Amino acid sequence: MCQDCGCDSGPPLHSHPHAHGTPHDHPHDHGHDHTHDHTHDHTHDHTHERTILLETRVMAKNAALAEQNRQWLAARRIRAINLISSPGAGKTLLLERTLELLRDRLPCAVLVGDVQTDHDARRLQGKGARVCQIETRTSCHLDARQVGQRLPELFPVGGPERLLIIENVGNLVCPAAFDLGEDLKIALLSVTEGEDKPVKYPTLFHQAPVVVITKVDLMPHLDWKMERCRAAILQVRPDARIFELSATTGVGMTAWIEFLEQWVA
Amino acid sequence: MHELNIAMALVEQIREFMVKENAHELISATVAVGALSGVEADALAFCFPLAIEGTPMQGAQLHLEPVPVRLRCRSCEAKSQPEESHMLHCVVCGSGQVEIVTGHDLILQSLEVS
Repeated sequence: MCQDCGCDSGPPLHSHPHAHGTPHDHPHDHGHDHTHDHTHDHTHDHTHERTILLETRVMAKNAALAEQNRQWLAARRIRAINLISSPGAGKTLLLERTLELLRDRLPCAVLVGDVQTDHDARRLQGKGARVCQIETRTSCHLDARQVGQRLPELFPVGGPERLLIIENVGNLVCPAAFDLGEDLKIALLSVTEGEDKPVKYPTLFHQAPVVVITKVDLMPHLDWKMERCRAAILQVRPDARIFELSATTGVGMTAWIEFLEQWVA
Repeated sequence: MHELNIAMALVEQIREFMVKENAHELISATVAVGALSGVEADALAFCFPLAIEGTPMQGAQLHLEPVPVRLRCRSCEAKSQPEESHMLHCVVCGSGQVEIVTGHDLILQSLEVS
């Protein structure tokens, strides 16, 4: 029975006349439950199947870790690039020359991913940047967890580094599916590959606002059409910024280095 | 091939949802595979049974639904679907200033459980 009005446990809606503004409450509830102890006889014999609707990203975990990396780096005013190309496109040589040219101008650290060996990390030692190698073993790409684990050792507290260069495992497919927490994906393509690679691997080239065409010193020996390649890049990424260079001869390196300095600044 | 890693991440995600939903058996999972997701549907279909082998989910089906690339043009506002997923230009006006509305993601849509 309701203690306010004496109504008989009442319907949910009943009213008590009172002046407007009178503080009052209705502390009783009319809750009930369906607990009971008798069994029901289910005559059907199927199991209780149900569908759970989710609509969640499969890569959500990697994406969350990538976002952590991004915030960790941003809190230290460090910008990060993720270099992606097929094996042999010239990532490591470009990095060697880049580190030499950035020395004393832009302090940076390098994280190198390879399926096996630390050959690339050794090539990059002694050029003024801290270098860390991740051997991915069976895996064909770096993921955000691997990168996050290495950040504290790459960037000791109070260090001068402003740029993290991640050299991903040589592969045009898999690394494109894994956000590492970088600010910029850069795709490399050498003139010894097909000019139409950007349209063959649109997932990566679409994600890369910057494309570097390497080994241009070899062009006289090849039937490589720069314009065809540029058109293929722009087809999947119409606003792509394209650099043409040779780390061997140094052609085009100045524009590349200036771009990195301005981008970090 | 990174699809085995992705299949394992998918299985882990499914396991977490099943615990949360108090589900006992996985009958099937449905995943939408975007044409630009970077994931090859055939390879994922191949890897999924390997990823659930020896787990309580063994025997579950994986349904993969291809999702085409759909674009929204920032110039003319038109929505369009390019003939090929690498042709990322507005089909209506040809502008390259397009936004990918669908087709760039890998989405776990639903689970059929008991």
